[in-house]
Amino acid sequence: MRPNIVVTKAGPRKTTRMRRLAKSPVMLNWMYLPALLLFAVFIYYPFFRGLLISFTDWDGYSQMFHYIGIDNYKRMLSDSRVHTVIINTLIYGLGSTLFQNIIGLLYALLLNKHGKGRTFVRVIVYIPAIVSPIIMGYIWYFLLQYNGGAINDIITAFAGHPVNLLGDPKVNVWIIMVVNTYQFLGVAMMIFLSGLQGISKDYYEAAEIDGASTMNRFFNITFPLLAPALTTSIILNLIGGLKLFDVIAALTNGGPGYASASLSTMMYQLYFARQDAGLAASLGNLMFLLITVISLTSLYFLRRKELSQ
Amino acid sequence: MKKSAFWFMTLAMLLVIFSGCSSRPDGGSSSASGGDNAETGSGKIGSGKAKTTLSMMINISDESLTKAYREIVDGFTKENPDISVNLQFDSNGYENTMKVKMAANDLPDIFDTHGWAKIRYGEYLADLRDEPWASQLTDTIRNVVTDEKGKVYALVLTEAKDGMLYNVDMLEKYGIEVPRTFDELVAAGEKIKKESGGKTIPFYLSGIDDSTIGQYLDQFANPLLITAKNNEADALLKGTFDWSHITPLAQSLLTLKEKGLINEDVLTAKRSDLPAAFAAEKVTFALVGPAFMDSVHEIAPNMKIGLMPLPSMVAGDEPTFAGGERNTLAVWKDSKHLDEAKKLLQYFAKPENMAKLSNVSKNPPGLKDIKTNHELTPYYEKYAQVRVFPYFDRVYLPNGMWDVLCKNGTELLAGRMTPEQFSESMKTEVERLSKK
Repeated sequence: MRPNIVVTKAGPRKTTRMRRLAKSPVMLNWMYLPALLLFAVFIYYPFFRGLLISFTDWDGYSQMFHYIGIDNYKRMLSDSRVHTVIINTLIYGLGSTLFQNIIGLLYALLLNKHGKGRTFVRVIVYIPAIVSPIIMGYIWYFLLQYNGGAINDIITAFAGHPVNLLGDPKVNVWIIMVVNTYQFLGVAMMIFLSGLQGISKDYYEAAEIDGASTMNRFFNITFPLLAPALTTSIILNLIGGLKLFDVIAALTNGGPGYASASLSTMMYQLYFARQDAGLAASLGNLMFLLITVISLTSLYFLRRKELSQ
Repeated sequence: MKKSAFWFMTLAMLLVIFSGCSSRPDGGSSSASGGDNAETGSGKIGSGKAKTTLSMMINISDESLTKAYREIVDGFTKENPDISVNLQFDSNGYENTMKVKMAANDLPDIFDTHGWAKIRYGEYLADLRDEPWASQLTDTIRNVVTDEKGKVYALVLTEAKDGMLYNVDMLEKYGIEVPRTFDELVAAGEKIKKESGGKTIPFYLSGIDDSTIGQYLDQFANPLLITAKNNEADALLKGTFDWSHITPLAQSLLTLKEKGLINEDVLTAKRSDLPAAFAAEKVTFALVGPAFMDSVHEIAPNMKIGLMPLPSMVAGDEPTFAGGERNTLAVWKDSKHLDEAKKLLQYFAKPENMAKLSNVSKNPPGLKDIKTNHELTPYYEKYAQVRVFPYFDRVYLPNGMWDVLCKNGTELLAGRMTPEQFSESMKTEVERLSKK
């Protein structure tokens, strides 16, 4: 009997102590540790290594390298191809974000209403987002290719000859932007749909009683109350567009030369093919800076516009 | 209005999805040499009781060749039940994988150096000079894998002896002799294009897989700068070369384009469509290795494909071949199983195994006195006296220049670079890479 008494006396005391410990801020801070460790190993360490490599002439595989100061950054900023690639990256990032959000919002507004086939259409619009971007790139390559591409077959039927759409740097950059927009506008649509469904019907009823037109209701109720969804969608699309890689690799491989390359594809080619890891790392840091500045600036302005319901 | 907009947008999404699914690449089947998802045949070979497992990475994906490697390794593990081999094949990502492994200083026990035994992999490789096969390396390959101190870097299973592959029947049909000079090559191309009514465009290059463009520039750099009596070899090696002298090489590529002798979609064509185009007689000449022949024969089994040396580009010079490593085996110097790895190399160096790999790959063996018999054997015998020069970039350009050749060539064809700018860019990049 004695051991039983000990157990019943010690049990509640231990449990209480455990509960208190679990609720204490110290314990909560310890819980962050695994996540912090993973962050340190997979994010912070590579980031600082990348920063370090950008000051070297490392070829990407040898055990030997030299520190060369800011030479890679000087080369990067004076290289006209890098200027083209920065402009391309901005087109992919800002262009895709603009169109994904405008078309995504239109789809969301259309599909927010009750109607036949609404779910079916939502699925159709969202399907491209679940396809791997590299596969999406190849699908569009087969549509656009010079010999036997479906779109070029149509062009040939009207113009009498195919057009090298993917080989022309004045066109292929925009095609890549359109493909990226097409693929991920379903994501924007879903974000807006969830935002729209969170807006209370009372606002619309009140506005209707006051005689507000459809446009008035959209700009004075829907749009302001969608601001949080807009912020999420814009930031997600911006980051995705500025990091664009797979679609470019499948459609043009960044070519001709680096004419349609993004910072990501150029960085990859400089590191592996050109064995210029130092310059590739500088480009990586530039991309980090670009994404951070654009995202934070957007976030700052969008947050200011947000209204709480 | 709303309803029609709704259905219009739905239709637009559906149209793109389904047209993408139904569209096809021109010409049907693509390369038989594997591609990204080919059955690679990678895996562990040997008894489960083996005490030692060797890791081995090979830069091929061609099915017949991977089978030959597996059979040889299988024979080795049966003879040596204490050793098993983890054999991995890859071709598309091989170079990048190896670069990452080198950076981590963690390499496979045995691996393929695919042309870069000395320059790229040299600092990681064991010295194989005392191996029984080392003295048997052919005269054309010995210096390629041996340094001035006598260190032997790799066992060369097969060596490259590359010129141009061509459609034999097509040249006969149009009454064209195998071109011996670049001008004859251009004239032959013009004749073929004209007499085929434009159905055949003699050359096929790919801007997306821009190594085909780099290959052209690399292979024709030798006839322009190296193989003639008065050549630039010394100047290139000493760093005193006047880079404007490479402008005619860029110009030659541009000439082919301007004369309409390169596929019109050069900037966006894919390398994987070349075998189908060649099999459909849309292309006459191909600057590729012999493995290409199997891909063509899968589509057109009876097509006769010949091998010719590279035409000369300087008056008075003779045609030549470009040579170097093709399939090799080297041993990581820090391998924990150096002896076992060397033993496996000795097994590969047996005459019957060397002959098997040579016959399957249609490349000359890297060791002397190996008897072979394959489709290209008559051509290698016919051109036995033709001089073989190492690939231009592997001797005269610093490591890292291959991509510059490929990208600059593509920019040239896209009209984004002039031949003069091409030379200037080559000069700048060579100087940058030579400083390292």
